[in-house]
Amino acid sequence: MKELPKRITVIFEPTAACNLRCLHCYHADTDYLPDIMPIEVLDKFLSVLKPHYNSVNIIWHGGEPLLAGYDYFVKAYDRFADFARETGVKFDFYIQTNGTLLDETYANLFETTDTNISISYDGPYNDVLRQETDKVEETIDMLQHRGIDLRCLSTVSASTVHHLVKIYEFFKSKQLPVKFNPIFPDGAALSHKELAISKEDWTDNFIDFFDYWLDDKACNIRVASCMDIIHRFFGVRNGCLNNRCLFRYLAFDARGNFYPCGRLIKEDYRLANVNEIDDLREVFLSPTYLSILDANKARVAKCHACKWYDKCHSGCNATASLFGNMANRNDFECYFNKRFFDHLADICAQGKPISNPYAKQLFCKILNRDKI
Amino acid sequence: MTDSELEILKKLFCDYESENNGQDSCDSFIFDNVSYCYDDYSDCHAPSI
Repeated sequence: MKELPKRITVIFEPTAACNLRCLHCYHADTDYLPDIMPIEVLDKFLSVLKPHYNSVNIIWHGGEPLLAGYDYFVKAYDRFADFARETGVKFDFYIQTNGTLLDETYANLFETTDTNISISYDGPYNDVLRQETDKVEETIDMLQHRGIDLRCLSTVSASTVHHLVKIYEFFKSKQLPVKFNPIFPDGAALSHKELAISKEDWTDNFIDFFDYWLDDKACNIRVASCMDIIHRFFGVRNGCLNNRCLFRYLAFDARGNFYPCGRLIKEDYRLANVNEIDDLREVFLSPTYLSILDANKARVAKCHACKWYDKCHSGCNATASLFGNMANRNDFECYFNKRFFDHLADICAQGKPISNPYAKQLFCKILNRDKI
Repeated sequence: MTDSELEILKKLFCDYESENNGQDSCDSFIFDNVSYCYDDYSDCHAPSI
């Protein structure tokens, strides 16, 4: 029987507090609790990894994770380093931050710890959903000036979905890799229905943008959203996409609670507290996790007959939950995937030339060809 | 964890993987001398739509 993976990704929330109040924030209903994760909780987290895991991705997240404070991060990285030395467990670090608190001191720390930085930043439309744009741009300039690789996570709302090409060109001009995410109906976004995007609007506009991107021989940045969909189309499974998250991803909050996903940090999805377990794998036997597995199985069964099943594998569990019920297909993602896969099938059938160097390289790699 | 819990866990995982035509492709890609990992945060965390 196949062993559980020895690698796990943990969305690690040292605090749920945040210094911004973005209009779409899915954490709004957590009340941005100001607790900072006690270092003893982090120590206990490390101890439950020991029996099984040998490779761990830590994604600092929040709230705004940097509100935990610089001294906290120094202490935390020391703990991770000591544990890695003692046990041989390998850690890779990532951070998702709004960028407003990231100064040279943090930049030094993230450089020395090889922490991959992703900034929540919507480019020319940053003020639509977020605040303190000048400060965020100052941070991005500082990081780029230091030669630190970073990427941006850009949220798309009804106000900006028609401007994807303009936003892409902006990120190109700044040489900032970007991933676009549509706003989804949770947290603060529920109170701003005018920002919601219909499945048709998102799909139509994203396909138009994708075609522009595919033809763009001057592309100088990685656009993860486009590359993700190409992967999905060719059945390459990676990250948490395509229903690959279970048993491979968890979220961990400041109070020591585990959840199945950073987007599902809600009481209904709480799996266990770190003080209730001795081995991290125990969370996968919790009643809540077993219910998730049942719901997942029910959704997969409904999707099996679809001609695109081998590409999307019934999609994202969190999205299914947010759009209704994890046991059911969610119409938004389903509509997008089907339209996009049809579109990509047409592109391949017509042998349409691809100019974008990133797309070219990706197609060659996936199709195992020297050139296309 | 007890042996029997471990067996249950293995079975749950195998069921999940087989339902999903399980494959685990942690992959990387080099462009402009920069190595990109497809299993990293930027590609995975946010919504897949």
